[in-house]
Amino acid sequence: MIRGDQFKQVADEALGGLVAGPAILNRAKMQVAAGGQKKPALSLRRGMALAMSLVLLVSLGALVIPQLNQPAIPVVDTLQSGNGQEELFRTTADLPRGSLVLSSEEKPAYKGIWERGAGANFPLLRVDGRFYRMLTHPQDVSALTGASLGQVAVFTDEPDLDTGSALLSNVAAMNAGVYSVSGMPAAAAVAAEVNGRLRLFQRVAYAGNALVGSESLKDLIPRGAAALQLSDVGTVSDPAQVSRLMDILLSQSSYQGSSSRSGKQALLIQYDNGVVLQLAVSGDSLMGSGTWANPAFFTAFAEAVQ
Amino acid sequence: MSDSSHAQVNQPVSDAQIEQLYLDYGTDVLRMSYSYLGNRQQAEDVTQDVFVRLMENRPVLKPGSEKSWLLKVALNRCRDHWRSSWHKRVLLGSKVLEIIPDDDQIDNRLEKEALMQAVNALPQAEKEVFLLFYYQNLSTQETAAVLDVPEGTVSSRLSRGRAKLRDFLDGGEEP
Repeated sequence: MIRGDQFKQVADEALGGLVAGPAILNRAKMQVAAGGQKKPALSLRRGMALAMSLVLLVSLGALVIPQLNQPAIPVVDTLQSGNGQEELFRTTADLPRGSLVLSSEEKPAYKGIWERGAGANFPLLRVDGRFYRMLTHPQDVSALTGASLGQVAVFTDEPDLDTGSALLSNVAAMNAGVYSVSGMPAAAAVAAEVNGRLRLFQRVAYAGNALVGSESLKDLIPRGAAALQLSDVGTVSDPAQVSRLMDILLSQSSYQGSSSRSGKQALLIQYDNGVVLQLAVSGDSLMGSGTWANPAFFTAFAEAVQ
Repeated sequence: MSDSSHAQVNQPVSDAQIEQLYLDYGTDVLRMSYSYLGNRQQAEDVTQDVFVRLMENRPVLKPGSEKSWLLKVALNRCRDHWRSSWHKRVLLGSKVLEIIPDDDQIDNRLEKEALMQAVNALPQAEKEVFLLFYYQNLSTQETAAVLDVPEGTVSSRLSRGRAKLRDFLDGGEEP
């Protein structure tokens, strides 16, 4: 009987006819010479599928474009009246675009707001050795732009292979601006230009990098939340309850390490400026920039929604 | 790990070094990708992609880390292919990973094909450590670094993978 630890010998023998000949390297060189265009190696079936997709796209475009050509609604720039003091009441229209996330359901279904990546890595930024993941909401935080933190200096699909300290991203283009977010410490969240919008990025762990220096959860999740939602459990928006839960969250969480795993639940933390941060939840642990154990928080949350 | 004659300290990889890396590790990248994906065309695409990235990015590779770099990039591209809707629709469900020996007189052909199929059918996380540790001869430390997981995780995945293979090769269900 062949054993698993004989795999190399078996694989070398079984795949002995599979050799990287000069053709693959030549195709790679041609692709680079052509400016990174995809190699001309699409199979017939994939080509057919692509062609059919294009036909469908053009057909849909023919239906949609006439509507786009209708006269646009005139845009009027506005300025705040009065003496420039912070407004007393914030309305929906004041919030950044795409802010509204929390569900009104009694037991909200899972809703995660961490943006997924097209490749193997999630869309991220590295700023001063800290990693941040792009969020799906808000979709534009231009209204909350803070101080400039620099520009993307390294754009790469393989962020963990870059050992430098330059401002890096796999989603914000080279020279894209990176900013702090008004009302948020830069250790918790930053914003960057992505495809013409200023997108929000939340601090996360990546490739074994979680906390920097003496940071704790208090540095990553600011106080002052307006509402909390735990999927499958409920939503808490009463200010006193939210304040109590945030105290428990930030004072009783015990750091378990830099590794993070995906959770089946999400804790969404909404602030009154429209920013929403997320911690993944698995059992009694919360995952953001590292893993944090806090059984007391979940007990208190369940009590608060009853 | 491997010999360290490719990279020069603090120097981006040169054209000549890329040629040498392809000669030394191109087949490793191709076979690992094939073992992962079970599809020759996709494995060749991944190998091509890996060397395109090497030529475009011209990374500074630490001497001795070249193979890890190539396998890490290949693994990421394999994951992309594995997740693609094309792969799910067309390849999964069909018989995958036929053996491609260079000699038709391969001994114990059915047993060896069964082992290849069993490794290919392992859950993704266990298959990755199996391919890096057993097939590419990386240490647990190097495997952990390529996969961005603790060494203990590599050991436990290897242990689980071995148990599943043993069950499968003893006549059980697919791992």
